[in-house]
Amino acid sequence: MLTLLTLLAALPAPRPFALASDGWTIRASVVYPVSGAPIENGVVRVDGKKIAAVGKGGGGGETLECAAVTPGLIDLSVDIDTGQLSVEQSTETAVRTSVGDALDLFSYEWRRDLESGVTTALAVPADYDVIGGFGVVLKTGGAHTLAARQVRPEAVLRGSIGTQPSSGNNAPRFGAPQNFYYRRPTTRMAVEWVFRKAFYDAIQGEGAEDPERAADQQVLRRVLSGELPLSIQAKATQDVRTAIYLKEEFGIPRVILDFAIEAWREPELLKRSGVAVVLPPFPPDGRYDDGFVNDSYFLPLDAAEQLHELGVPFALSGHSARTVGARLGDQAGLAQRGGLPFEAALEAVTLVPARLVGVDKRVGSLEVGKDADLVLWSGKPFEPTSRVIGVLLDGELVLDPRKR
Amino acid sequence: MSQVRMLGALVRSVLVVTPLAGGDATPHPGEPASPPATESAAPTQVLQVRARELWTSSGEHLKDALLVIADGRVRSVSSAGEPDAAQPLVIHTGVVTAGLIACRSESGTAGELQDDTRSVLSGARAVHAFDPDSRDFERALSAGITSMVLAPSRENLVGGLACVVKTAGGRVSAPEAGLALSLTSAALGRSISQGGFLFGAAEGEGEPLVAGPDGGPEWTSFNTRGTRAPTSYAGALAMLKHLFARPEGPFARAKRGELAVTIEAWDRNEVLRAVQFAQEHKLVGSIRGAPLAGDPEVVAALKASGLGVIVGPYSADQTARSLASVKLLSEAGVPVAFALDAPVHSPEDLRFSAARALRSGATRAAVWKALTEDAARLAGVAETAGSLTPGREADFVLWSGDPLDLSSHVVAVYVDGRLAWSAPAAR
Repeated sequence: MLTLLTLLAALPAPRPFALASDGWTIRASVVYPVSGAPIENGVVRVDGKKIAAVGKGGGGGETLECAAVTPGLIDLSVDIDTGQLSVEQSTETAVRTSVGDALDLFSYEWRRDLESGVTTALAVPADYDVIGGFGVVLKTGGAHTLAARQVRPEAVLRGSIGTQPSSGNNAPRFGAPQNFYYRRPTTRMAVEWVFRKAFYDAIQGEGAEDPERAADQQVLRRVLSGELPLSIQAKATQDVRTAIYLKEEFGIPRVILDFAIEAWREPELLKRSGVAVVLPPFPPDGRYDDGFVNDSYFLPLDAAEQLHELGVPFALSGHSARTVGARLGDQAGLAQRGGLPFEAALEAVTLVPARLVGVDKRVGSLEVGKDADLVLWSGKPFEPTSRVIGVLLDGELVLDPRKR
Repeated sequence: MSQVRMLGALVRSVLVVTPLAGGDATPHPGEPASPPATESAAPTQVLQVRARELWTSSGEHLKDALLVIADGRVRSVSSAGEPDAAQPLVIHTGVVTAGLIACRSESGTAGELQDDTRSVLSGARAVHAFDPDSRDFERALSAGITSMVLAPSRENLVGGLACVVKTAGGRVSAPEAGLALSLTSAALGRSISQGGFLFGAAEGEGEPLVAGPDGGPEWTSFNTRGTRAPTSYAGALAMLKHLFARPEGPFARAKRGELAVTIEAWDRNEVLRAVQFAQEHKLVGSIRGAPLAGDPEVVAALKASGLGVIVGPYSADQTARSLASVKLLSEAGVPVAFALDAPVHSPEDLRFSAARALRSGATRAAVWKALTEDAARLAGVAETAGSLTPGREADFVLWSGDPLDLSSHVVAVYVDGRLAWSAPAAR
């Protein structure tokens, strides 16, 4: 039997993505289920698209070996969209459009994220509107249709506070308006005004005799009731403050501050308001420059550790980094350099983001019955000396550790 | 040497029945030796063509065939049939085929098919925009094209209604041949004709203001941004869904399957989005574009949708992957036809595109179907055009040799049974 297996292993794989008919057995020096304590010399058994067992023994199907195995990583701030074409800009509040209708699933960037261990992502419309529409949670691989990849279609409503939503707009100072970008908002203050007006109108039912507006307001009321999370891009301190003030003013239960570079500057507000935070990648020099307003924001390495100490739920993000050493797994390593414990770093790229967007029943940890999304590591996860050597997505081997 | 010869005996008998006017007994190549019967008599007008080889449809090649035309339609096609000595006869030593069909063109419209002042122009009709006397049609005839689809521009989400015209006499064979939709980026966010000069919106991603040829600022998308909704794929889909939710006019007819749609979609993600939309609304018709239709998933989706694909015209620098799409689509059983986009492209590009598809692995039968039968089907004129079978309109071409060989040339073209074009005698 052993001879036969050796022979089979020696044969070239007939397809690039082999799907073993009897599933997979992944043996690792350490299995990190996230939902429980690490298991030394553990085994994860995959049957079909799901995890069949997590423990010490058992087997079946083909066996893969590695130093460590974690759940597939989850990135709530990928940067894979169709740019300007991903967001409807004929209005500042494109409430009912979905980025799912605008994604290019053929983009090679999905594959790059997948091979870095990111198996689930939240895609949102580009932030050129105050309210840009629905974000969608999807797998980073598989067939190139939304139906095949989608985990949660209307996962969040996306908004943006700051300079970006107003950046394309003009005030009609130099003559008659020539296009629909001659409109509010043109400043940070007016962005907040448009935001508040949308929610205020939804509460009042203002203009609800128009069926289009009524349908928009229905969505906003789902945000107000806590059924639908609100993801807000808020980079600078003042934007973080504004987002929190809006949350408190309207009593919005579930708010996720995305790309919150300077959230760490407002510890009291974060704690008081119960917002969740998605941190952007740690820049090499700690700085983010905003070219449009000639401003600069600072993100220290211990930002994640500070949020952890405060008890603020937070996720790390790789933002689809092009550079090696800056991807989601690497961010978990950098956060540890800033003092974050390993367990918290692991959770911040798996189970926490899964919970924030309501997909934790399917992904985020290694538990029986969950999707078989696994990352196989050459050493301890997130260490600079470790790398991702294998990835399973829905039970399919999309990165083969035996070929490396 | 002339490709057409008259049999002496027949010439004599024809001459007896209907003498040639003017005493010039030397006909133009492909021209019958006699004029059609006089109108006053109003008998059935018959024309016979004897050809060394005749292609009835993609599969059937008859040797020494006799094609009989009566009142502009094909009456019969037979191998080794005997001509009626009392009727005019054309003898052709080359190949006779049905006329080619270009599945999309702007011939004879001189830019009049482009109205991007609004995104939805469902009531616009291309049939009102073409000049039947345009030289574009004569040029098309000279390339063996007898029908073409004139379709509104892809700059609009809903461009309006396409039409099918014959290239001779400006006859319209289908005034409402399909609803033109566009899910390409070209239909999003801007109206070229509405943009103000220079002072538009602030700079957008990937839309730099570039220097023009004279060094001054170029008229670009930069200053036309924001002149028209939708700006996004999601907005475009939302708008289309709205139009098809409680459909009126052409949308209602399209939804009932009475009116075909042609959806422009180029990138693979655009193609899959368009296919999904068509399937959701049970639309029939075709996708225009899909240069990367060779992707297995795209082919599978197209096949499942029942839509056809309009490819080309291929330019000299077309990628191998794009050229292979005719082969892959036809192997999957997806109907394929070629676009022409004249007058930007020469009408000769239709046959050139077909030859390139052939060289990239498509079968002769598949390529020929794409030029004729499938093109007729996707244009919505399958009942009347696209093959030489009894009852169809007699649009046919006399070729010097194999029409899929680019060294063959057109000798004469007949439309509705009448000589519409013939090569100069010196050729």
